[in-house]
Amino acid sequence: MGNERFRGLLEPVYAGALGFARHVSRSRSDGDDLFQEALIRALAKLDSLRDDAAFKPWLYRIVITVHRNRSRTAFWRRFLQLGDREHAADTPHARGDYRVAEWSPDAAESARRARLALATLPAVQREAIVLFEIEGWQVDELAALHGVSSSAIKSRLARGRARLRAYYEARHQAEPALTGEPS
Amino acid sequence: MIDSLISTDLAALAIEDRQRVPAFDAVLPQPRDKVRWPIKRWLAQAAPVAAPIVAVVAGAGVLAALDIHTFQESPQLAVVIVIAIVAMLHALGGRARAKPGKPVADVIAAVLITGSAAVFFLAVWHRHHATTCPFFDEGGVFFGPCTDHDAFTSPGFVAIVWAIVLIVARVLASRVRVDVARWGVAAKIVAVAVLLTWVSVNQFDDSWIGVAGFHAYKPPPNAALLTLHRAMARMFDWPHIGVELSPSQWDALAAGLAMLGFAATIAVACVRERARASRWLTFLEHPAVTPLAVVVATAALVYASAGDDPDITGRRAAIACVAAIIAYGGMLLRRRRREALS
Repeated sequence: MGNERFRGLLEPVYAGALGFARHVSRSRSDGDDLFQEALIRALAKLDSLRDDAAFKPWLYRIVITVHRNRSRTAFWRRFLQLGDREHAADTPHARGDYRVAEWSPDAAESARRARLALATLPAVQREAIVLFEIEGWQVDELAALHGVSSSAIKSRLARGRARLRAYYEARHQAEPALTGEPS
Repeated sequence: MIDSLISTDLAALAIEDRQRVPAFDAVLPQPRDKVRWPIKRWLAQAAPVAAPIVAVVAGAGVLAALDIHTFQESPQLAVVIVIAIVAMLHALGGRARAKPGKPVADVIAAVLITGSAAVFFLAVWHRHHATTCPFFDEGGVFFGPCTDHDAFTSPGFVAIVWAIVLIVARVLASRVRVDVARWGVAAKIVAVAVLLTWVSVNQFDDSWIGVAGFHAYKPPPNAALLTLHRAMARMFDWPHIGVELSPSQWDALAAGLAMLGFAATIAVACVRERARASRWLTFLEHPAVTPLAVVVATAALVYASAGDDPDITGRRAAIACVAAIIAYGGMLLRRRRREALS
């Protein structure tokens, strides 16, 4: 009974939540582990969820909590960021898999660039940027998820965008062809 | 230009995310195989409760059967040994993931054991200090405290009450849905601290079976109780209690207060802990705390065994109790950390 309920609630949101877990972990394999751990915890605590309509933010909140616990535990991860390289190497582009619709080497390169840029952000800004820019969440939804004010979320988004911009500008200095303009 | 490039790249990343999502069934946690033997499931639920009960009761029984003088004087040391062994075993196997416990059961158990201890303590106190029964022998009728129910204060009785309380708490916890996760560790410590204190204050003189405890007076063997009803009541005779508690009982009470104070600090720290980890809890979670406290408890226990004076033995036993509770608290907090990560 509980498993059926969980299955029904999870199916519409699992794709976004899995992508979010991968982005906040900065590594596909770490993200998959994080997502599995969050699912197990969510399944165990499902009885405490009173309103099924709140399942999505509830699940994302668990993903964030598990991620922060794991980050605190794995002290060495702060210094050895193997995840970025692993993540970057494990893309359709790297595998030469261009059969997927909407996909091309240019799109793969764009996605890889965005992933590396996101990896430079602090966790709270990365969470905000991923949910707002990629998952399409609204500011007030983000504020409710994190338990902070809307202005705090806007501030995080602004700081995150500024960091992304700085990353891209630095890359543009080193690689003028990036934007198609002379530096 | 940079901003549009960022937007394009993020859009490409969103598309890549959608393309790389595995099938829904692949991400679901796989259900466990169906339990073929229902007895296994029953054992899996009962064993975590039954094992400590069996360990404590068997440990206390074996030590009492060995007729060791120290354990007759201070039966709480048997419980201390069991706690020290459990804490050490957890410390040795410390990296395993822990299954979340049932904080509601722990809180209910703490309330029930505290209530039971208070009720039986007051009942015995009342019988020994606030009742006077008429006896008669060859010399005629005389009056003394009604001491015909000493069984309430034996360690065996305490162990049985404790076991019943744990089982009742487990059953009640399955029907109660209250979020008391923050109180779980403190409740577990309170339950064990009350158990230790209850056993400790009961012991008196050289007899642990007839541990009526608070009154040196015993009717002569050939005296018969004339009537069972209370003849004269002397309620709240405080100076009388002060005189008749032995020094080892005072030490046991002081140790009990220290243990409950320790539990209170953990409760406050757990309740106040929000975004940042409490420094007190972080300190107690340190891997060195449990082994160090176990060493102190063991040293106090061995030292207690070496003494001949029951009062000195009682004091060393009190130190052993406090050290064992600190070891137990450290073990529980480390276990709580593993539960959070499991």
